[in-house]
Amino acid sequence: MTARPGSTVVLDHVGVTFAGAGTHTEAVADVTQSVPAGCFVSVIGPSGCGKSTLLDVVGGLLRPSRGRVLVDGTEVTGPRRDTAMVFQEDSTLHWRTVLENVAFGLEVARVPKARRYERAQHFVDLVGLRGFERHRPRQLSGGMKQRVAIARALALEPRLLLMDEPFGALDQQTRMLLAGELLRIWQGTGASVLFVTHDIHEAAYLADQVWVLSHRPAVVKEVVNVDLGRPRPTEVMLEPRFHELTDHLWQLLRVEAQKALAGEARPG
Amino acid sequence: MSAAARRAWVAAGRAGVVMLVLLTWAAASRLTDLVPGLGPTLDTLVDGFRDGWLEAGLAATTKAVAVGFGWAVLLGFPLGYLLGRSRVFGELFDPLVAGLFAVPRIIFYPILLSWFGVGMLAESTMAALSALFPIAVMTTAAVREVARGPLPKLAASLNLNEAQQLLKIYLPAIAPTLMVALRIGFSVALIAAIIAEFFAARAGLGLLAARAYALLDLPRMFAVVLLIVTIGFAGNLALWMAERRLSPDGG
Amino acid sequence: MRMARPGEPRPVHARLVRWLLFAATLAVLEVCARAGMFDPLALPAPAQILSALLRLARGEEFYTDLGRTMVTVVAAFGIGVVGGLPVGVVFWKLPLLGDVFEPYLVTMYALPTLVFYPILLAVMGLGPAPIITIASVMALIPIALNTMVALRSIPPMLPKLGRSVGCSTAQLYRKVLVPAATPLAVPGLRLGFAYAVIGTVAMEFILAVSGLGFRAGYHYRYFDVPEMYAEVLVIGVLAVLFNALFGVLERRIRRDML
Repeated sequence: MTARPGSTVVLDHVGVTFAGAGTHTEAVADVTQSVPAGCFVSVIGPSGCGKSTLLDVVGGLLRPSRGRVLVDGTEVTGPRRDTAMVFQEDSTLHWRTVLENVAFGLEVARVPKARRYERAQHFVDLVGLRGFERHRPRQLSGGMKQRVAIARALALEPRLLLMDEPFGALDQQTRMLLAGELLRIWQGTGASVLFVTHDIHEAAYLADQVWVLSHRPAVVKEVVNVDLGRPRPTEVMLEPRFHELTDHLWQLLRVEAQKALAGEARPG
Repeated sequence: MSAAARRAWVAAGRAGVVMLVLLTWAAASRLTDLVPGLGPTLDTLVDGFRDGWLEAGLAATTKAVAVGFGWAVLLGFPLGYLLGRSRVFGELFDPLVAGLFAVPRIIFYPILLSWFGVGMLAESTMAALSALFPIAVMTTAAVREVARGPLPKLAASLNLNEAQQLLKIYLPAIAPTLMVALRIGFSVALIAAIIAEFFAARAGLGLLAARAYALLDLPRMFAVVLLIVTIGFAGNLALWMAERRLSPDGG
Repeated sequence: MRMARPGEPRPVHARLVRWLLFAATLAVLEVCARAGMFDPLALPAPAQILSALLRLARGEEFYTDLGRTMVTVVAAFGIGVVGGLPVGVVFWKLPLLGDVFEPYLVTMYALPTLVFYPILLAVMGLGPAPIITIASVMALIPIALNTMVALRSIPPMLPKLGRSVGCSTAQLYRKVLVPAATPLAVPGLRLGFAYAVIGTVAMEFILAVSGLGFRAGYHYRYFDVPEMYAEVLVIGVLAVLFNALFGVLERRIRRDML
């Protein structure tokens, strides 16, 4: 596989306000931050803080109300061919087989059929679904469906991968297993990653840096550099440094979560 | 748009549709002699009730629909429930019920006429026969849906007997579907009665419409049709609103 | 490959019992009719109905009626599909409009269409036009409603995924929305066809000069009771047959697309 360098992402004073029924909800206040090429960035924050909104903006699914996002120096105005997304909810197309699901992005990009399926097969193998090519999503477990979604994203050979709590709906063992595999696969791609999660262990284990977002409207409260080295076996989670990092993240998150609770408790 | 504003728009739109229909009618009556105006039609309607002929027709149709619909409900629910709950009955009679559900039941009317003769009995039997199958089929489907879910396990764990299962588990669980079945059953019973009256009857709104057509008494024909539409619409709308209220996601 | 699960019907066994029951019913009817227990003008013996059927099948009239009915049903269904699908799409695209019209569609679903027949007759004259009009409106409504509901029930995740991989509008419809909605829209087509049949036969019954529905009523009026039963039988068998055909289509689509 050709490892092209990952994209550089620059968020320049990005803000998002949802106009509702006579009310305005500010989801993202003002985020200025960048993802260096080939960097794995985890984004954590209290629930409902606008993490996913931020990801939708970078993916070109949502136009920011203020500011702009630059990928490799060009402003994002819509979904980009070299950006791929993986979502928390089941995003498999239930009428397609596993192989056809993985080939979906390539099909939309009008890659010729033979090459499309050859590439899809490669990524089916890579995510460990060999033998399930002809299965339909309803025959698969939740973890396998997310593997399909990851393979579909990777098959586009993206330079930027946006993952919105991809393991959020899975059980703990499956999450850890898939996180380990994601690292193994990602290291071969060179892609930059923005990975939204609410799990601080997952965030620290995967990332080069962790952005801790504040309670809504979101700002980046702190960027924590994860100095754990690569390649990174799962045993790293037993090291004292890992615990220091996750403790620190937990403290940051706790303050924000308490603010969120207090905000919800306020009447009106 | 806020929810309240949206509701207001929808209500206004619904009223607008009625206005549009009335305007189209008014325009059509100007364009052709085949369509009488709104005024003459309403006059005929009022006259019809004052002179009594419309009331007699209305009474006959209402009776046929009420009796037929009543029998359809009384027989359709138990039949549907039995088919849904009993495996043996289900296996044996599913294709029969599904098949009869697909057959336009009105074709049985000549047979009913030759059994019972022209009159109320044939008509109400026709209405009952028409409404029976939708009610039974929908009940069966709803019962099976419940049976596939977690509730039978709950019932078993509580040691409920058959009657308790019916009253405490199945009936409440399928109530929303039963409302849909009632609405469809009512509509179908009404149509069946009207068509039956068009074909052969001694009294009823369908007969009045057919007669008015034969005599080319257009205001009278329109008045009768307007009355039938209003009955069907009002009954249907009332049942539809009750159904929305009962449905899990609220009205 | 399918595995038998507990509670699943055993088809062969049930089918056998069903046919036995059917044969027994026919035999009882035959014996009773021959014994003179029924009024022959109300319920002729099954054998008499069968011979009436054969008599009909030898004549030309039967095929004219059959053709007329089939053409009317297919035309009405065709108009219902061509009109109903776009209406469903529009009501989904413009939910406000959908909410405005929903109660009217739900109500018209069954009732008032048929009672307009004298008016249509007055406007269009005796012929296939009023029948096709009424039957196609009856077919259109369930098709439009089911299409709207099917599109509304697509999880929002799927169009989002489509946009994220850069689908054009055409690709979004062709590759995501249509396949996602099809399994729920097909029952609407099946219902639409059933309504086209009901509308056609009911209308023929009261206002046509040919067609199977008309012929059943005609035989009733002329006291050709076995022939009347035979026509009713033909209509019934045809309706069941087409319904079964749609059932097979529906199961295939559900298996492949759900």
